Formats: sequence, C-alpha cells, structure tokens
Amino acid sequence: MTTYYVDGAVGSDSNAGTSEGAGNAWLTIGKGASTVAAGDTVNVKATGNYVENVTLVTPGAIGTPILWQGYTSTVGDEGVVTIAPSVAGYCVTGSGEFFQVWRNFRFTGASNAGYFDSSADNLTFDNCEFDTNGTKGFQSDNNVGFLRCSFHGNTTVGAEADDGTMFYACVFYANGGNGNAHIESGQAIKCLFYGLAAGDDQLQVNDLQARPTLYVMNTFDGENAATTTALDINGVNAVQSYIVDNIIYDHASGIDLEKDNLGSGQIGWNLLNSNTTDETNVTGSINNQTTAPAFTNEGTDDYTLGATSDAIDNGLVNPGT
Amino acid sequence: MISKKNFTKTPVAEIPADTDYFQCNFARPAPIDVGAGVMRGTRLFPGDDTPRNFTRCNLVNCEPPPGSTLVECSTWIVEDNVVTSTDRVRVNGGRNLLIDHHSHLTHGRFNPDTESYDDEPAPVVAVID
Repeated sequence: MTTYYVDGAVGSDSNAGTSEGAGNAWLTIGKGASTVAAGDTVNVKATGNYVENVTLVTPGAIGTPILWQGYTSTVGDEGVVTIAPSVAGYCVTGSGEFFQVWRNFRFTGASNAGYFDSSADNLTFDNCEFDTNGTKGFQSDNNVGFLRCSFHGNTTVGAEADDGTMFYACVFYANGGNGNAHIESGQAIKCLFYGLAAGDDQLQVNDLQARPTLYVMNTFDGENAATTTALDINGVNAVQSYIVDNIIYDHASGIDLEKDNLGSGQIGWNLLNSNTTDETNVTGSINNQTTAPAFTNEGTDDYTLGATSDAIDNGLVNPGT
Repeated sequence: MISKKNFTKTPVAEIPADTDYFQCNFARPAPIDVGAGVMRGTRLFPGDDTPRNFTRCNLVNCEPPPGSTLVECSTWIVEDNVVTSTDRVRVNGGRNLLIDHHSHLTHGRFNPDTESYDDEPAPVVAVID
C-alpha cells in the first residue's frame, strides 16, 4: 500500500510520486490512474491545474480500496481539486474499476458525464461536486455512496446509479433533462433537492427489487414547476421501506409510489405542503404536517427552518428535519 | 444576479434578463443543424446583443450574446442518444428486428467571441450502447 502525491503546479510525471513538492510529486492525476494498485492512496494538491480526462484502469478490492484525496496545504484539510477536461469525454471514466474512494474532488465541464463507469460497484464519494457536465453529473452501477456531495447544472440527470445507492447530506439543483437523481434502490438522508424544470422528478427510484429503502429527513422544493414529482418510486417487491421526516413542498406530485409497494415499512411524519397531490398510491400514511415549511429564505435557497416551522420537533426519527 | 436557476426547459425568449448569472443551467438537449455539417447552439436572449456575465453556468448547446464573459462555463456542442447505425436482426428465422445503436457526439466548444469552435475539429463519437 503506497501513498502517492500529485501536484499540478510543480510536479512531473517522471518523478517517483511518493512525496510532495517539485522533484517528487507527479504532475497529473492520469499518472496516478495508470500507476496505482489496490490499497494505494493518491493525495492531489488542489492548487494545481487538472485539465485532463482521467481513465481508471485498476480496481481496488474489499478492504483495500484506492483512495483519491484532495488537499490544499495539508492532507486532510479538505481542499477541493477540480478536474475539468479540455477535450471531449469524461472527467473520470473506467471500465469496471470497483472500490474507488474519492474525497474532495470537483468533476466539471466534461462534454459527456462528469464521472462515468457504468459497470463499477462499490464507489464512495465524500465532499465532491459534480456540475456543469454535458450529460450526467455521475453514472455508475451498484452500491455507490455519496456523502456531502453536490450535483448541479448538469445537462441531464445529476446522478444515476443502480441498486444500493446512498446519498447522505447531498444537495441537488438545476439538473436538466430528466431530473435531479435516478437510482434503482437505496437511501437518501438529510438531502436537499430543488431547481427542477417542469416535468422532471427530484428523486426517481426505478427498480426497487427486494431491497430495503430509506428516504428520511430530506427537503424537496418543487418551486411550483408544473408536473414535477418529488419522490417517484416505480419498482416492485420492496421490503422495509421508510419514507419519514421529509419536507415535500410545492410540487405537482409529492410522493408517487406508482404501486403501493413499500412492503413492511412506514410512511408518515412528513411535512406535505403546497403540492397539487401530496401522495399517490400510498396507504397507511400517518402523522403528517400540512403547514408551510417556513424556510428561512427560499428565494435565496436558504432552506434552514424558521423557529415556527412545524417540521421541528414533529418527526419520527429525530426531532426536526 | 440570478443564481442556481434551471432554464433547461424555459423558452429562450422567456429567460429573465440580467447582467450576471451564477451556476445556472441553460443547456439545450440538442444543437441546431445550420447546414453544411455545422451545428450551433441556441441563441440566448435572441435579438438582444447585450453582453452578459456567466459564471459556472451550463451553456451546452447554447450561444450567449457576443462579447459575454464566461468563467468556468461549459460550452460544448453535443448530441446525445444519436442513432449512428442500425442492425437488422432476424429472429428465429422469421421476423426482422431493427436495432439502433446510439452514440454521444461532441462537436467542440463554441467560442462566443469568434463564433467558431475551439478544440475538436471533427465530431468525437462515444458509443453508449
């Protein structure tokens, strides 16, 4: 397990890459992609300029993922590295490069998707931004986790992934084409969805299979755009699914289960306000609030809650949302 | 300033006029074929040549007014889900099926000052199925 360093300002790809600074660090992230083995770490200095299309060729493995980590001056300071390709393609792509962990990266300005590996499972992204890409912000396969990530301004979907996708404390806005996020099953916890165009879905779940799902403590603002749906679940055979403690505001359709298919889970304790239809194909929904959410300033995208909001201290999982 | 707004399905004539746009999405699903193999973006603010400032905006398949300032914006001219070939498949020796193969075509980045493309002199094709 080797730790490497990339410095787009002073590095060189002919260096060994095993320490920081001129004469030691690599110049490009691509050099790292062509060198790393499972279990390696690549620390990338955010002060560099990374105008490149990175192609991954090596997967990590269970217990030995490949860690890509941005930093500004000290590893761990959360400096964000921007990857913005100058030629057509993706910011980062691969062909089934499993078990990659990306921390503190921005994937932006690609003519195609920002991060694309349609056959990769077990990817993790922490404090990453996927924005302003020519198609999707992100696309891959199963068991992908996003922590503190932002998806915005992509031409089509912000994020598209398959089974077992998890979004925690993520923000989605102004993604065009089809909506903010499409997954097959998974979880969204403490996320914020807004900025839809008419006819799009904030979070579309297309093929639940027999997996538990969890949508808890999220805020969905439809901004009165026509025919939008906050949470659109199309699949079958779900088990132990929970949709609780969410704020779902100002949509044409709030929660649309397509089929009443949430298995043995629970739906309720949501704040449902200003939706043309709050719930479709939902049975057993209980303890919902119906007053306005009292955002601090929706006009400036400040979705913190005013002190009078009924979303505070009326939840199931935790007081407030 | 207008920030974090989604204009992807807003007719260009109805996009609110301002001088500064931040993290807005103006992308159009496809470019306009103006003939002779040239694909251009949809003109934003048609009939109004006032230069504007765009920062971290998605201008895919768009043309901002001439002289506009673009900072960290995406200006690619792309076509998604383009049928680039079709196979005819015979099923069980009987019925014929046509299978379309789709691709993603990138024509280049549009330069609003020169009204021409930077990078990519020829379309770059990425097969997606």
